[in-house]
Amino acid sequence: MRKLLPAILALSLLCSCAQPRVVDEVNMSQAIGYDLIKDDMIEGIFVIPIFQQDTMGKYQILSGKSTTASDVQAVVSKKADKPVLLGQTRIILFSEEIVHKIGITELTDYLYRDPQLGNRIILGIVEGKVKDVVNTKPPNSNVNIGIFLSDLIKQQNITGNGPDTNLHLFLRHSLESGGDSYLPIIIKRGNHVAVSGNALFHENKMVSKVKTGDMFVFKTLVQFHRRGIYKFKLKDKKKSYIVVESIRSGSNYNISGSESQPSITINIKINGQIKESMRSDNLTNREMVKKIEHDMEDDLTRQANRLIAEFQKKNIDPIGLKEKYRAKNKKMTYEQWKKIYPTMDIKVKTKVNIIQTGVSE
Amino acid sequence: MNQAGVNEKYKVSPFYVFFLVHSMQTGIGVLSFQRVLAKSTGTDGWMSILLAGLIVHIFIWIIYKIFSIVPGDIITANNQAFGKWIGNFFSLLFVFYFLILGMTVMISYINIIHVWMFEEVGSWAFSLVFLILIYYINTGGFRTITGITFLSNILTYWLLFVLFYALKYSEFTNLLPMFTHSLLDIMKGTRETSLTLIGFELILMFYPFIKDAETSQKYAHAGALMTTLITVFVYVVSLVFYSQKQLVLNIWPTLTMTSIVEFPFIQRFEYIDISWWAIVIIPNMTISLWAASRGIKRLFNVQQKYPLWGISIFILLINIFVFDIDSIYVLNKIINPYGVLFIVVYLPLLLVIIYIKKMRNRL
Repeated sequence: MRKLLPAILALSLLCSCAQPRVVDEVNMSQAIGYDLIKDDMIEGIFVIPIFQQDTMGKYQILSGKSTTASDVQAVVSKKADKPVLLGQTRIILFSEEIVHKIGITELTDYLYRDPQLGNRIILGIVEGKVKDVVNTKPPNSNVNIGIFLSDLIKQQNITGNGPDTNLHLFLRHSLESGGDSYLPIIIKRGNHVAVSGNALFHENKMVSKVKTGDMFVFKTLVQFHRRGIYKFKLKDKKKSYIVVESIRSGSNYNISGSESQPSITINIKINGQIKESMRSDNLTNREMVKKIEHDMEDDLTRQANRLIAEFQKKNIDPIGLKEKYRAKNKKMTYEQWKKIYPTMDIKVKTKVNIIQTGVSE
Repeated sequence: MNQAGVNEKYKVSPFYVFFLVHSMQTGIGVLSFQRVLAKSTGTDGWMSILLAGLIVHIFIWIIYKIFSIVPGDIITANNQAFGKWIGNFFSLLFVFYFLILGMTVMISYINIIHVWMFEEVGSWAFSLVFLILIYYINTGGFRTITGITFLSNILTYWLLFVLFYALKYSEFTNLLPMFTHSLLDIMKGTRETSLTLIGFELILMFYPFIKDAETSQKYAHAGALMTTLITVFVYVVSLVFYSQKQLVLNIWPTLTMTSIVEFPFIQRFEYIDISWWAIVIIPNMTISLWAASRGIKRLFNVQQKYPLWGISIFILLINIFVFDIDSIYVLNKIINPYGVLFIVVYLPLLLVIIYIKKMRNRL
């Protein structure tokens, strides 16, 4: 016991060593946006919740200008009664302009370096000004705009057509030499904000976009998924719409290792159910289902081919074919890949299985 | 036989050697070894780890062989082989090595706390608390140390399962292509992993404290095997979780990996992981400093608490006057390559000399 006493006493030494960070005494930012003003000046916008009894979703927006992304935090703290801390940040938005001028790798260096920020932060690209998006009132007044946007993107990735995204996944692709990656795009239309397609990056520059309509195909090419909605027109006289919801879908890759004639075959497999059919045919009839499957396969193959041809023309590879090709061809370097990729023979084969057609005929 | 003057009542069961070896090996190294390993061997790094694990087994065999000829600890063995003066010189080198080992673990951990959590708290505060704790555990004797080691193992095993969460964000093609590196690269990688797998050599000091010590060899091997397997597992998970460039960029890949974990009731899991890691490294520091102070006790015939005081004050002073990042730089240089080289060259040499002496005596 005599020995234990000094040990216990010593522990009290540590009590006041670190700065306490009590929730009520800091400004806890939940979303950050970066806009470019002129001449490389960055405007940082912080969404900070205000906690009060009986009210939910109150928040303030603080902004400051500086030349680097991390310095903005200090500038903003100067204007606030409490220091701005980043530990609870869920989403970080960049305007398209800032990504063009400064480059995404340079902007994310700080985010990846600071241990305050987790790996699960969502990054988003805003068409237009970030300021306009952040200043939008969320339709649901219980949450602030930061949480609203991050939940919006998260639910779209889980249940909609958006491919999975966060800081870690983005950097995994984009840090590689000639790395190609993607981020969701957010735009403001009228009084509301919405997810609209994906921005495609080559190294540190944004080079292209995937349109909202192509997102299902893109997601299927990029990852395995359990949800997602695809709409297409049946190829007959009436040209009516069919909507299919994916249940288990994804793609796998056959790579031929020959050096002279490299080729990749992408096998897309969709297991889905019919959500809506805008015609009065009997869907319990297997013949009809077979026709829908066949038409959907055709349609998907066409879309996928078009997307891939587009990627090849721009020499970007957001699907990650490079890594898959390298897995088979050990000696391949990025320079070689750059040469062979635009003319590479990439085939798409699609297999659609309609597993069920719903509860009505 | 009363080996190196250890009373029977201070001894521990051979079974605990498993925990002592395994716990000494896993410490600060497993948080950061992936980066250097990925630089030299990339996707083939797991082969380097397996090779290094094999070498560890050979050395455990060597240690037990030495003690089967000369029962006791490394100091007895040194004296037997080289006589009193040269033997004591080598024993002092070992004491120094154990001291550096314990210091490296402590300062590396303080560095992690500084970077990840409390950048404004001075190193001395953390080291003071650790040193008092270590002193307290050490005064309980080797049985207490073993108990703490066992407890730390049990309490930290769940951290391994956190890594499964990271598999959700994994890309298994990252494991390919395999077998792209030359044998030389893999050997180089083996050297890089040595920092993660050292720690088994503490057997050299605590061997006399094991009941029926000869029977404990299988537990020592099992402990080393466990460490090797865990290291391979951590490396493979890191490979599929990160891309190569990203892995090289991260200083503590294992910690960054846990920052992807999210629970409804806790947003930032890595802070729990880092704090919990203190439990992993307490036996590390305790056993190393125990070994260093016991070495001095055996060499100079003083009570063990005096060298322990001296060592503690020395470490505290280093922590007060040197920035952790500077001292880590120097300490890591000492341990790898010099410390590792010392162990790797000296132990086989010792075995050979002892063996020759034994043969000569028999003739």
